[in-house]
Amino acid sequence: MDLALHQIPQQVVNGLVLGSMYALIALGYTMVYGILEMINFAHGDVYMAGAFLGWGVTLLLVRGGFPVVAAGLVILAMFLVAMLGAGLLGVTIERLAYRPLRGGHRLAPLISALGVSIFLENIVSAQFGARAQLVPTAHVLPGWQVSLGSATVSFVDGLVVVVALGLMVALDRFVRRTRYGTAMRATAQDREAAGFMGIRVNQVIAVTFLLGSALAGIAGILAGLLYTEVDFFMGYLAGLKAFTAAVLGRIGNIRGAVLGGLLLGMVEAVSTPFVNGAYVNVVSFLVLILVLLIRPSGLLGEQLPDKV
Amino acid sequence: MTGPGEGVQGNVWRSWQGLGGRRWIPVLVLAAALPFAIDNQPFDVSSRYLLIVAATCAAFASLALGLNVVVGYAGLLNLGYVAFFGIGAYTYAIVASVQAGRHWPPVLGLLLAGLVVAVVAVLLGLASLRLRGDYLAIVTLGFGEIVRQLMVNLDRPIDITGGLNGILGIDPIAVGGLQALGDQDYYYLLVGFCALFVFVMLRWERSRVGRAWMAIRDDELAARCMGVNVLGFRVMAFTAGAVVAGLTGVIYYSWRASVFPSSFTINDTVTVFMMVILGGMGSIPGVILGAIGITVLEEVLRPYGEYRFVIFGIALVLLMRFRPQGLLGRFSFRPRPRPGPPAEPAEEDVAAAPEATA
Amino acid sequence: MTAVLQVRGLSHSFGALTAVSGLDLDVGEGEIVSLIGPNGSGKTTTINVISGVYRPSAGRVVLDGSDLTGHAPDVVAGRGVMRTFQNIRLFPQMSVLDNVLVGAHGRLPVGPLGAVLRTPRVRRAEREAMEEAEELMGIFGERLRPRRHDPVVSLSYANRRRTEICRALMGHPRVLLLDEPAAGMNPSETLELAGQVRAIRGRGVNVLLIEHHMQMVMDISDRVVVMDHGLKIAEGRPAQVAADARVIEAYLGRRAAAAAE
Repeated sequence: MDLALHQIPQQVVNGLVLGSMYALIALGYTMVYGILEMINFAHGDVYMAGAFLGWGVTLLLVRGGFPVVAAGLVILAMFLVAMLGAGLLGVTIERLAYRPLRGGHRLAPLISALGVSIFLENIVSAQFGARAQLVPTAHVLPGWQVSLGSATVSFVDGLVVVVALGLMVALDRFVRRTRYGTAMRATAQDREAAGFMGIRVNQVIAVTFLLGSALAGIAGILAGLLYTEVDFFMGYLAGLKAFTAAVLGRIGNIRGAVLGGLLLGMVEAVSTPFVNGAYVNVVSFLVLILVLLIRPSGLLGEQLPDKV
Repeated sequence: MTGPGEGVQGNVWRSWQGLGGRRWIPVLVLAAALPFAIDNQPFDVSSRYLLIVAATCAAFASLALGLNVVVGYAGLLNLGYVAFFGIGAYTYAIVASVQAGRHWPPVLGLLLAGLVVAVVAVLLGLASLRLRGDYLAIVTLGFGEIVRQLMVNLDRPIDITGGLNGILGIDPIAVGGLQALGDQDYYYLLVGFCALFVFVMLRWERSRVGRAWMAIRDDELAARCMGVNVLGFRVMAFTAGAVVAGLTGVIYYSWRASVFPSSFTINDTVTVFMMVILGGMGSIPGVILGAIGITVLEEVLRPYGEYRFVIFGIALVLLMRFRPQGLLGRFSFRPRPRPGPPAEPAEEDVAAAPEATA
Repeated sequence: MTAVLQVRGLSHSFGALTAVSGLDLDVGEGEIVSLIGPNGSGKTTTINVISGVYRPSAGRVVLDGSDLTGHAPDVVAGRGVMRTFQNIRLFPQMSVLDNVLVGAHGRLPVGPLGAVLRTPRVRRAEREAMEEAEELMGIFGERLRPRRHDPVVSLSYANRRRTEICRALMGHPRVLLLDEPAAGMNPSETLELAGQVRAIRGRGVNVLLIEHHMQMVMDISDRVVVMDHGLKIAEGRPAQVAADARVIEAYLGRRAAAAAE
């Protein structure tokens, strides 16, 4: 028990790092749900795609023999590529697999999303195999470390938290303070009325997917850097957990997604020393089931009545 | 699907979907004769291989039938369906295999598996069936993942599930002194169970139970206002599908003589979903055809490895967009028709006015 | 004579919006009672509360002496209150006949085991239900019967309403709640419907009717209850209510009421 207590500061740091990533992914889920009332099943796999893109860029640049000094440029390049790639992927998925089904039965897009998810996961696993691919972070990242009490915070840890929080603040500003952000919120509240007001709804929806997917892509690279490996299944797991986070904070609510993500990250990190490795996943899924059963409107939500 | 003359078209539609009990007899005869046809087939393919494929088709047809009740009739998206396939298989393997060192009478093992699956399904159903469609999908997905994790990890500190290496040496099914040995025995066993399931589902489809499920799927509130106990019937559909999967799991894996966690992934769930959606939701002949088609396709595409699932993924997206009712489907997750311009002109009604009783 | 359906002090709010306030309403044996009022006066909310779709914030709903207040819709249906919907809520992927048969769900003794075994009891129940569905569809002449196997979405608007009514009647209700059954019907269809509602009353079913077609309301109602802004503002025989100044004011405004006097 003594050992476990000693580990807590480290786990808090880990929780923050993990939580930031979950929050980034959760934002995508929550924005899409807010605007389309649909769970974008393939979102986790967009995160995975971002991770693989980042890995690919790193490999290219490392093999191209970049000096460590240019690490910052490398990381920047990775981010840009993954952001754009993932963002475009998300927009394409929306256009091809979801938009044609809009206005129909609410379960149709979900099944379509399932198809997209299977497509992405298996293309990657067919191409790269089931084993994880290593990301050569040693060549790319400085190995700085900082000690906070009994916790060690590495460069990557800091990078993840700083980037994630920065992006979340930027998104929050964008949604709340800009005209386009207002258009997004209006569309989320009443799509038809927004259309009548002259808002280009299709475009707003596409931008929502673009932003959400770009964030997921960045989360993917960060994951690749943090864990030094990527595999085809990472999106499935992270996706489920990020969705849990989104629901935890109240689905559709951007700040809620951040809150939920950080909370879930903490729960996972803190339970890691006490629970056998693989069962940590089970813990997260149990949280998901419990939240959906007991308080589906999330921590920040009120009970919503059914419309008749 | 709308328009004048719909009456005639409607009756054709109706008689096709009818396919009542008696019409299945030729199918049964064909199925019974298949092993002999395979033995005498003129092609250059291994007879044993063909028989194995045929038996696998029968097993998956049962699975598809079970999922059809859950998704096709009741409209519940159970994305963790294959978990029940696995729970049934593992339960049996734990009480009747060489590796577990226990050799219960197989029929008892079968019944136990059915019971375990039913209990899990009822619990999961009661807990989660108040949730709306997409949330239910995620919860069942999470449940499926939990089950798979348990399969992989319950080998420490006590070895229950054999971990990643699964359970080997599963006992064959036996009733009294009669043991099922060999592919042909199991083929008949699997076909027999499939036939039993078809029988049960035909009866359900045409009864108050089937109507209740479909009403719930179409409009839950209206169903409730007509007196349908929505939660009860949902749990019923969920459990029925699960038990079908569980029992099939026992038979199938006792045939394979071993069971591994790697057989119960999301890819496998999607495969069964493909069978139901491609074959047609709510249509018993449809999902059976879908099962046979997908099983055969999987075999044909096996050399391509994971790419076959890439194709399935694309196929799902295309199906939902262009033909959500699949081949023979009576129902689909297609755009809900709104009360719009009438299909028949109102004049017809005026002309018929004198018929009204007072 | 105690009323079959008694509503006392019914109130229901949606957050800060009070939809119904302190409503008293009776439907007596053999009565057709109409509930009228301008849009937004709370009529459909009242029906929704009575049928169990909403739980009222205050008040009671009593049917034949037993309290229905706050019970779930399927329980309410089982006790003898069946309804139709303002926006027609049929089961779109089922046939006309199957839609109607669902109405009998509450009273058919056919469970999952029985359906498989098809005991004589089950067979008889299903057969009788089928026969009764035919008979009920016959209330509307040959409009529905020839189309019994057609998908319900291929029917005209008026025929869909008729199907919904048959479905509700299959439940052998003590009280039938009709929410704007004549909406979307032309005058001759409405006239016909009026006769059919009377026929329904003749079969021993008491009717609470929400309607905007005033001619129909005046023709067939035994009593009319008028709501406005969630309150009952008038009640009485059709002619009485039509002449009531408060009613005219609610629909047409104060000046019209003054002009009427």
